[in-house]
Amino acid sequence: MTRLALTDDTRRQLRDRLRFLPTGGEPALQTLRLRALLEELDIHCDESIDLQDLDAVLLASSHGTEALVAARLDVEQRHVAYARLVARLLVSDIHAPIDAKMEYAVAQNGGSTREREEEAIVLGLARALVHGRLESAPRPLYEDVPKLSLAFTPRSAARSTLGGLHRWSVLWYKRSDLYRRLRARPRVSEAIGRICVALDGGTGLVA
Amino acid sequence: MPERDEVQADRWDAIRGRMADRLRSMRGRGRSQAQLAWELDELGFHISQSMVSRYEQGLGEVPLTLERLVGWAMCCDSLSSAHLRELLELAGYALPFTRGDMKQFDDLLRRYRALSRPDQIVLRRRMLWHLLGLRPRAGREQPA
Repeated sequence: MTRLALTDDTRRQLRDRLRFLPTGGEPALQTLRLRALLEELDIHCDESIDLQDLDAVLLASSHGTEALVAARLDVEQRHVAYARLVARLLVSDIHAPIDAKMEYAVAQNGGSTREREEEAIVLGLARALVHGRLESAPRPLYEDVPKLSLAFTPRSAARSTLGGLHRWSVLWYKRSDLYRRLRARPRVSEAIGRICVALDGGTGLVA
Repeated sequence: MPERDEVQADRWDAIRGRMADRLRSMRGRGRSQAQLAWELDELGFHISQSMVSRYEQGLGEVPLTLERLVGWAMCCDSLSSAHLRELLELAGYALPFTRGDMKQFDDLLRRYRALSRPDQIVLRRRMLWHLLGLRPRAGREQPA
């Protein structure tokens, strides 16, 4: 089977850089940052495409990856479109030899449960990116977190518990509108950040 | 006519009948020659219905290029078909994809069919470039 030009390493770099991406500023500036981030990873961006019903498409093959963004979008819509493309890259499986991830202007109701859950995660993460509050989305989506495991020492037991909480968080994030709304509240994000520090003391994983 | 062109013409004469059989089979019965010509035109190839007809009868005078063969198969949703494989083999072309890969391309084309016509055209043109191993040039995309 032919391999994609977009590798796991590219996606890891995207996760790493995203955490340190400056926030704030006008939508046009934030869009520029997201676009530059993609282009640094050799993802060709084109905003001159005459798409009618789609806002954006991520097209990946062994010959490269393209982010196609509809020319009709205004500045804010373009910002959201780029955020969705970045979130899609982080969340979705992209299959060789070619795959296209389509970002529709209007939400699609069809698809399997898995597709609907994936869509919910992408939209949630994209919203967090647009608002410059990455911490309002579950951490496993954008950074390495401790894993749930059989642990015996007090320290590894704490980290394992944290891993379990992260799994639980992602599970509910993709299934529950209520949890996504709660998770996005600043107080909840801060509380989760404190729990992470308490259970993973001193590793720098601060929300 | 330079010697190399005579050779090319002789070679084309030798294979165009067999090419025609496969082109007809690839189009199948569910798609008219007019529809195929229209879709090829949308994809950026200037091929009329009469040209489709001539090639399907083995009367086409100019050899079909790799780009046209792949575009033809794309419009027939037949990238993974044995017909395209045989056509490429006859013409001496090769694509760096396995049969399984080509099936993935066909699956994606089927997903594109659910989109609006302008969006379909944009994505099919892009896919053609990926199939041919090229990166679309900036500003090349034309309004649908």
